Amino acid sequence: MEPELAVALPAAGAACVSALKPRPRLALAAGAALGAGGLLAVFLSRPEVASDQLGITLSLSPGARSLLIVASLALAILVALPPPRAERASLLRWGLGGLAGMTAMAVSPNLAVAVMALLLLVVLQAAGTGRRAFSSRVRAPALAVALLTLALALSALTGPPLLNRLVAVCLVAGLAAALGVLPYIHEFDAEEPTATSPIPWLAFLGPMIAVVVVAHADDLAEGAEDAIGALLIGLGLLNIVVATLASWRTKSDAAAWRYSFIADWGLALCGFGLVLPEGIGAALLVLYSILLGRLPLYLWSRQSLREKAQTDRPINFIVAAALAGSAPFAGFPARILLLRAATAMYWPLALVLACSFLLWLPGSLRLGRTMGVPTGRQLVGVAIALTISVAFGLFPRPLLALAGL
Amino acid sequence: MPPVALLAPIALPIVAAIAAAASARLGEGIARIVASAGAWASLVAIAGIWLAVRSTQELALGPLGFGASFDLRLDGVGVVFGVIALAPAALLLTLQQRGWQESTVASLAIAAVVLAIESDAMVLTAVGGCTAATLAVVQFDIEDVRAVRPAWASVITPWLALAWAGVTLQIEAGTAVYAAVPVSALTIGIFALIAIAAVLGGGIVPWRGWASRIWTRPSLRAAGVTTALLLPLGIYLLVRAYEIGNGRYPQSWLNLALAAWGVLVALAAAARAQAAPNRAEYLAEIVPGLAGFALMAVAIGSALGLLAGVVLLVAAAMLTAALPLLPDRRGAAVLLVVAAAAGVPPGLAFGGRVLGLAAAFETGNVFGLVAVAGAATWLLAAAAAARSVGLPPGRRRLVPAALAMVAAVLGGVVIASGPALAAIATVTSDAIAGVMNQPGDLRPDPLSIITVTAVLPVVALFGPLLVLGGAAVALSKPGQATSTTESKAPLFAVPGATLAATALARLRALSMPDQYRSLFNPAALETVAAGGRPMLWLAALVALIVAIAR
Amino acid sequence: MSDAAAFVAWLGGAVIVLADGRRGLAAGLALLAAAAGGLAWSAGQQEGAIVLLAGGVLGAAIRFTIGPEGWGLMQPGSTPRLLLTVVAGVIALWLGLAATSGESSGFRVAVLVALPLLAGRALQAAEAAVLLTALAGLALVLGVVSTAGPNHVGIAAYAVAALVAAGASAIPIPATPRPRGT
Repeated sequence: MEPELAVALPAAGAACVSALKPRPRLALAAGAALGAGGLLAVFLSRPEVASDQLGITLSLSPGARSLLIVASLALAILVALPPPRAERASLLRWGLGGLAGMTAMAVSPNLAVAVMALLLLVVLQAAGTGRRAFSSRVRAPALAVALLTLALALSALTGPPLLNRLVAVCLVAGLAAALGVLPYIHEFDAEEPTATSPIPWLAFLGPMIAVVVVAHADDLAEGAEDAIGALLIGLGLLNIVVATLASWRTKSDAAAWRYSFIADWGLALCGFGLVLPEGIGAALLVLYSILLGRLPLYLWSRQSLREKAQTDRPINFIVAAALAGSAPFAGFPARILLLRAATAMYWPLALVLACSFLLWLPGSLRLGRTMGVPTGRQLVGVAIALTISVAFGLFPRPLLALAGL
Repeated sequence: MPPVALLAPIALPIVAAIAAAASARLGEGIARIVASAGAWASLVAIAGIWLAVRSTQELALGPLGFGASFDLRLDGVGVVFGVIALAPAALLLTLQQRGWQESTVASLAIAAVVLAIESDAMVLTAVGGCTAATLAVVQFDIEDVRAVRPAWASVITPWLALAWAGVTLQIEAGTAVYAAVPVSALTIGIFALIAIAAVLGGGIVPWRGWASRIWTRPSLRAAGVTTALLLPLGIYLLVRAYEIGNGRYPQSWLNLALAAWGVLVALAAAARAQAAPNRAEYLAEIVPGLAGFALMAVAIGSALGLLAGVVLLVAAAMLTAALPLLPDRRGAAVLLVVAAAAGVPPGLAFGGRVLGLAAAFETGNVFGLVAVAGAATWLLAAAAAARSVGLPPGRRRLVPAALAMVAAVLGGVVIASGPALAAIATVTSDAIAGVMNQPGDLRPDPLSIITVTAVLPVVALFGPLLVLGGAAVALSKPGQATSTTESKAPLFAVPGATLAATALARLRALSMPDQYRSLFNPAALETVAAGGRPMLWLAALVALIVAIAR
Repeated sequence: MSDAAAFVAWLGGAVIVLADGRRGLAAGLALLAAAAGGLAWSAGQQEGAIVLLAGGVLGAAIRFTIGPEGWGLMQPGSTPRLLLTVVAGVIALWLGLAATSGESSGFRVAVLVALPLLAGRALQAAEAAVLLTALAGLALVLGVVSTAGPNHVGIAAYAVAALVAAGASAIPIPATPRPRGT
C-alpha cells in the first residue's frame, strides 16, 4: 500500500494547501502533515516489494526512492527557510504537487504510465500563473511527451535496425526536451515565479524524469543501448561546454543560474550515458547536489538578483566553490566517479571531461557573488545547504547506498 | 598509541576552525589564538604519534563511496612533510594579525593538507589537496579581493589530474593505495599525471606563476600560509611516486626531465630576481627558486637527492615563515633572510644545494649537466641576492619590530643550521629508506652524511664555517640602515623576454574584428538557442537522427 | 476495425490541426477518442476502449464549452497546416504499411499519424485551448500505446489516460499577468 500512499498523500497535501488558501497556517500544517506522511510512505516502500492494491502493480526502484527522499528534504528545507518574499504555503503546494507527480512517475509499472503522469504535471504547471505566454510554457514539455510517446510507439513495432535507433533518439530527445537542456532549452523569463518557470523541470522534476526514462530505456531500445549512451554523452558534453560558457558570459544573472543548472545536467547525462555503476552514481550525486544545493541556493539568491546586488564576502566565495564542484563539496566525488567511469570506458573521454570541469569555475564565481549578503534565515539556509554539500562531498556513501549503488 | 589517534592531526584544526568562528564575537585576537593553537596541536599530534611508536600507524575507517576509502597512514614521509607544512603555517597563524574568517579558513586548509598527507591512497590525497587549494583561493579573496591571486583553475587542475591518476590506478591495478599499487602499474601516463599534479600543485613552474605573484600582494597573510601548505604537498606527491615505483620512476628519463624542469624553475626565478625593480619583487622569487632546487634534488632519484630535497624544503618552509614578517626597510632581518635564501654557507639552503648537486654528479651521465646548470643557477641567484640589498623596498607595509626580529631569527636559524644537516639526515633516514628502498644508500650518522660513494663530514666542515661567520658578524660595524628610492639596472636582460611579453600582450588583446562580429555574435546565438523556437528543436531532432543513423 | 480507427485517428488529428475554434477542437478530440477506443477494442480491451472513449468524449464536451468561439476550421493562413495533415498521412501510411510490422497495421498507422499531427499542433499553436486539446489528444494516444509495451497494465493505464485527457480539457486557461515574488 505504501507506493499508493506515497502518491496520494502529497497530492492530497497539495490539494489541502490549495483549498485552505484563506487560512495559511492551517494550510501549512495540513500540507506539512500530509507531505510528511508521503515521505514516510516512501521510506517504508521497500524497493524489492511491489504493491497491487489498485489493479496496477506499483513499485519503487532504489534510485527513484533515494531521489524522492532527497527531493522531500530539499522541499522541507525550502519551506522551513523560505526565500524572501516567498509564501511558505505556495512553496509547499507546488512542491507537494511536484512530489506527487514524481512519485507517480517513479512507481509506474511502465514508461507509458510515467509519461501520463508527466503529461499531468505539464498541464498542472501550465495552469499556474506565469509571466511567459501559455504556449511558451507548454511547448517544450509537450514536445517531450510527444517524443517519449513516439519512442513507446516505435518500440512496439518491428522493422529495420534503424527503428531501434529512432527509439533511442526519441527517448533521449524527449528527456532533453522535458528537462529543458540543449538543444531543447525552454524559454526563460528572469522575473517569472520559480514554480511556473523552467527551473522546476531542471531542478526538481527533472531528476526523476531522467531516472525513470533511463531505467526504461534499455527495455525499449533493445539493441540500441550503445546509441542511447552515445547520445547521452554527446548531449551531455554539448550542455557542459555551452552552458558553462553561457553561465559565465550571459548578461542576466538569473539566466546565468539557469545555465548553471543545464551545465550540471550535462554531467548527469554523461554519467547516465556511461552506463557503468560509477557513471550512474556520478549522475545521481549530481542530481542530489542540484536538489539539495543549487536549487535552494538559487531560490535564496532571487532577492539579491532582483536587487542586482554583487558582493565579495567569504560566503560568496564558499558558495562559488560549492557550485563549481570543488572539493570538499558534493560535486567533487561526482566528478571523480565520472572520471573513473569514463577512464574505464574510453580514456580520451575522461580527458575531455577533466578539462571541462574547469569550465565551471568562472561562472560559479559569478553566481556566488549574486548571493549578496545572506542574513537571517537565508543565512541559516545557505549554511545548511553548504554543510550538507560538504557532508556528502566527503562521505557520499549513504546516499549512494540508498540508491542501491 | 591507538590508531584512532591518526584522526587527531586532522580533527584538531577543524575543531579550532569551528571554535575560531564561534569565538568571532569575542574578538579577532581570540579567534587567532584558537586557530594557531589548533595548528600547533596538529603539529604536536603528528610528532607525538610518530615519537610514541616510531613506526607506521594505520587506520581504516571504510569506503567513502566514490572509490576512495577513509584509510589513514602515518609513516616517516608523512611525518616529515607534515612537520614541514605545519610548522611555518602554525607560526604565521600565531604571529600575524588576521580576522576570524581568515583564521577559520586557514585552519580548515591545514586540516585538508594533513588529510592529504595522512591519506594512504591517491584519490583521498586529491580530495585533501583540492580542498586546500580551494580554501587558499578563498583566503586570498577574503584578504584582498582586488589583489593578485592564483587563478582558481590553476590550483584545481593539479588535483583533478591526481584524482584521474588515482582512478586510473584503481581501474588498472585494482588499488590506488600508495603501499599496495604494483610497481608495474606506475606507467608513464600515470606518472605524468602525478608529476603535473606535483609541479602545478606546488606552483613549481618556470614562468611567473602564482607561487611568485602572490608575494607581491599588499598583504602577505594568505600568501605565507598558502605557500607553506601547498609547496610541500606538491613535492610530497613525487616522493610518494617513488614509493609506488619501489624507489624508481617508470623510466629514468622522467627523472632527468623533472630534474631539468626543477633547474629551469630555479633559473627562471633567479633571472627574474636579478632583474627585480625592487626588493619586494626580489623576495617574491626566493621560494620559487628554492622550490626549483628542491624539485631538482628530489627528481634525481637517489636517497641523497631526496635528503637534499627535504633539506631545501625545510629551508623554504622557514623562509616562507620569515618573508611575511620582514619589514620594508633595510636591516638585519632582510639581510639575514636574503643571505639564508641565497645559500650563504653554512646554511641549510647552502647544504641542501651542495647535497643536491653532489647527488646529481654522483648519479652521473646527463645528470652531471643538470648539476652544472644548477651550479650556474645558484651563482646567478647569489648575484641577484647581492643586488637586492640596494634595491628600494617596493611596498609600504607596517610590520612590528618584534615580527622583524622573528624573521631575523628565522633567517639566522636557517644559516646556522647547516652543521645540523647530518642530524636531519639521521632523523629522516628511515622515511627516505621507506620510499627509496635502497638499503645502505644513506646511513645514519649524527656527524656526517654517509652515502655509498662518499662521506661528507658536515659538522667538521660546516661547524668552523659557522664559527668564522659568527666572528665576522660580531666584528663588523653595521652602518645606518638607509632606504634607496632608485632601482638598479638588472645584471642582464633575459633574451627574448621582451618579445615574449609583447607576444603575450598581443595575444591577450586579440579580439574579433568588427566586420566579423555579426557572424559570431554570442548574444544572438544565445537568443536563438534559448528562445524556445520549435523549428530549431525539429532541426535538432533531425540532426540527432542523422547522427545516430550513420 | 483497426484500419477504420486509423483513418478516424488521422481525421481527428487533422481536424485538431486545422481548427482554431472550440467546436472544431472538440470535434477533433471526439474523433480521436473514437479512434483510440476503436484501436483498444480491436486489441481485445473492451473495457479499456469504453474508458478511453468516455475520457475523450468528456474532454471534447468540456472543450466544446471552453475556448475561442466557433469552429474555426481552415482559417486564412492554414495552408501549411493542411499540407502537414496530408504529408503526415502519407508518411504514416508508408511507415506503417511498408517499413514496419508488429501490432496491427491500423495501430501502426494511427499512432504514426496522430503523434506528429498533435505534436506539430502543440509546437505551432499559440492559443491555450488549442494546446490543451493537443495535449488531451496526446494522452489518448498514450493510452493506446500503453497496451503495446511489454509491461502493459490493462485498464488502469486506460483510466489514467482518460483522466488526463479529460483533465487537460478542463484546465482553466490562465491569464498572464505579471506577478511578483519567488
